[in-house]
Amino acid sequence: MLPGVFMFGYVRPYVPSLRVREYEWYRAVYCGLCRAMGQVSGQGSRFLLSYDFAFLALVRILLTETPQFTRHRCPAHPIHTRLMAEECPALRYSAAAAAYLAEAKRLDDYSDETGPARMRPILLSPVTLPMVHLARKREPDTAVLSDSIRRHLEQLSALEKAGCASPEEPAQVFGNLLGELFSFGLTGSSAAVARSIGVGTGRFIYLCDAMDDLAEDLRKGRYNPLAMLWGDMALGDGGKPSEPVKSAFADAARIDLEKLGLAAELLPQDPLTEIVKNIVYLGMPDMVMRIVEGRSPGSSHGLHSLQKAAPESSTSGSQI
Amino acid sequence: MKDPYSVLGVSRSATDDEIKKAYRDLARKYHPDNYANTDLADVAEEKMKEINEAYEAVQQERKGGGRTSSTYSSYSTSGTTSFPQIRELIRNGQYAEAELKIDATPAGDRGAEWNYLKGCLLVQRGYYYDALKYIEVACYLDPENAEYREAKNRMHVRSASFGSPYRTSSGASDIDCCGLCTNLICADACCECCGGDLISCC
Repeated sequence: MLPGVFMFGYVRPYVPSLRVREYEWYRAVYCGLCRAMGQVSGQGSRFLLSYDFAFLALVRILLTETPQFTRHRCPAHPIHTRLMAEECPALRYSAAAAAYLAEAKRLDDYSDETGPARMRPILLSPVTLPMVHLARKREPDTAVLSDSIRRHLEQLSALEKAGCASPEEPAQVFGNLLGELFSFGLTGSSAAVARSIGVGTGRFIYLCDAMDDLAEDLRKGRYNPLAMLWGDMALGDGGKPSEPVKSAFADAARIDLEKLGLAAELLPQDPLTEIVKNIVYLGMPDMVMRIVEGRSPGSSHGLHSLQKAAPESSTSGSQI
Repeated sequence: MKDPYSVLGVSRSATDDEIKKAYRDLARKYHPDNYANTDLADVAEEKMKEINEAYEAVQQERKGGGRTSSTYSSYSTSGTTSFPQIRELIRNGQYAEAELKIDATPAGDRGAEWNYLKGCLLVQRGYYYDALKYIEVACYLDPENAEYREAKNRMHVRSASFGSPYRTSSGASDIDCCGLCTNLICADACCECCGGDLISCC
């Protein structure tokens, strides 16, 4: 059960508490990443764009160099110009990482699934393989990353096949994978901070995904770490996660974010750091509550759902 | 050694539940957390140890079917589970040993208290997702128990306070007298720009 890797966007800012300029910058990084994806791994790879990768790009920008922000038109939004982060090493790196992760996810699906479900990863190969090929050619330094990703994923599927009864171990493996992704190529204290942010983010994504899919995984007999942990108590009325599971998850997830908060505090003093803090301190806890209340983002992603989701979540009382 | 019943302040004829309750009340009263950073920490710890030993001794005596009072100082640890002993280990920070004992507990003895202690140990390790499950189960098995509820509540308060030092979303705390005045003057200036006037005197 590899989290729908980065497709769901569990890591997003809590928009009502962003300053207007921060919102603009966040969108600029998001749009800039989309452009960088087109340039690094081919136009077709832009569909990989997600909030989670925007977060990766944001952290990398803070730890390397801040790009210029300029206005451009883009094919998806031809009428108005948009503020975009200019191409920079952090954006190019994040774009390449997205391509490697997508391919690794495809391979992982291929080895996990049987029967007709195998068709999906097979059909996706002409999509992801050229992306990886281009990324390797255009960002040769990052090529070794795909081996590291594969190693972590193998470790993860070994744990899942063994039916690991606690979410702790697989969550940590996925955390380590993201720690590697966030810190790759950095040195010294930057690397340590990036790794720690990556580990916290990975753990968060893994457990959010497990909670989100709990009922469905149980129905389909798939591995789910929270189902293993809770056993008979996992489901309540109507095949939905039970109240004890929900309240324990909501508490545990937010306590588990404490370390991530400590790491975020160590980022350089920069106006962009405020966005990272918004994501960690407000966006992630808000996402936890949305999942618990059954308002998880599910299939909707893209900035439009971000705008639409914002007022809704501010009235829910889930805000701390 | 003192008579364990008198340490716990119960009579020999007390029921198991009464003894349990007496033990819990005393344990809560002398809990080292209450005395952290005071001169009395050592005294409280000594007291706590005495209570634990007394409770342990009474348990042993009742379980073992009327052992004589001379045996309680040397209770055996193999086979039977001794939760007070595990509590003692946790209090002294000997988490590894406490975990060994917890994990060695036979399935039949894994009741509310076992779940609670297991949860406490997992919190120590930072395994929050697991920890809260065990604490939740402890509360489920023994809903009346204040100690378990308290633990659950503590975790909830801790989780709810995450991120609170960061900008609060309500913004209510930002409104103070000075801010109000400046805002008003700003608003006035804005109105004047547009040809109107909010505060007529300036």
